[in-house]
Amino acid sequence: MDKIINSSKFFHTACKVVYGIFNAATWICGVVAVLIWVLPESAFLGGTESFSLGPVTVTLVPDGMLAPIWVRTGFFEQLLLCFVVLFFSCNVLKVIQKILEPMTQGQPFMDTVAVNLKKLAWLCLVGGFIAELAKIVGQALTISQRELMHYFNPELVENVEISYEMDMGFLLAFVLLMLMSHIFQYGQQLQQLSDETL
Amino acid sequence: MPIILRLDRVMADRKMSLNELSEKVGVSNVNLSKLKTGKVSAVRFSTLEAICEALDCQPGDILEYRKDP
Repeated sequence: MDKIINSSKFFHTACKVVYGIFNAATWICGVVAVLIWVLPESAFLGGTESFSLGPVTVTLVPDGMLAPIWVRTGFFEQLLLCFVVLFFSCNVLKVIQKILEPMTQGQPFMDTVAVNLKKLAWLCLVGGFIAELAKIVGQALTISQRELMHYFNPELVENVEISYEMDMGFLLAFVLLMLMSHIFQYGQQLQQLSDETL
Repeated sequence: MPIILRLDRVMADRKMSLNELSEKVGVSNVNLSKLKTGKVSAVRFSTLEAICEALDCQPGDILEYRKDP
């Protein structure tokens, strides 16, 4: 039992630390995303520009780069995506802390654990869906801002097609977490029965 | 609950206080108090044995069944 309590305390502290970092990063992302629209266009000139097509990263020469307005928009989209992901991650970490709290006191079968596991399941479902959707939207925007055929040799490449895939792993996480919440709910009932037995 | 505990009656007959009984049985005052007021849902045989030994009584002296109306 001491081992479980000690490891729960360790993970609870780790969650707190990571939550603090993610929370700060969320605010920074939000502030920078707003500040980006205040910066002059000259701030988005020069340097290198690259974009990703799945695992492939394409780095462009200066002549191939987008106009500063599109570079600014691209940065804004990336920061917005980061903000959304970090915001959801902060909420997930908060819920994980609430799940670990009773365990740090040696009482894993309290009703709050089952309730928060259900919350975590829903967060995973909604957050996972939004993250996948944001990934697809980001890819679509990246592609819509460029004429992809422009980057390929027309003598060798006839056509470029993009297909979007959605990773449904968050569905499995949702199902597993809901199952776990039911198991902990049953455990809580058994614990209550045991506590009321003299 | 149909099962009623008459622990207070037997304790009064034997002139035993809650503290005394708690020490003899090895159950805390708080839990014995819960037992007296019927706020427990189950009792282990080992606990019942210890209480009967301490009070020198039968389980039937402490437990009574009354059907719900």
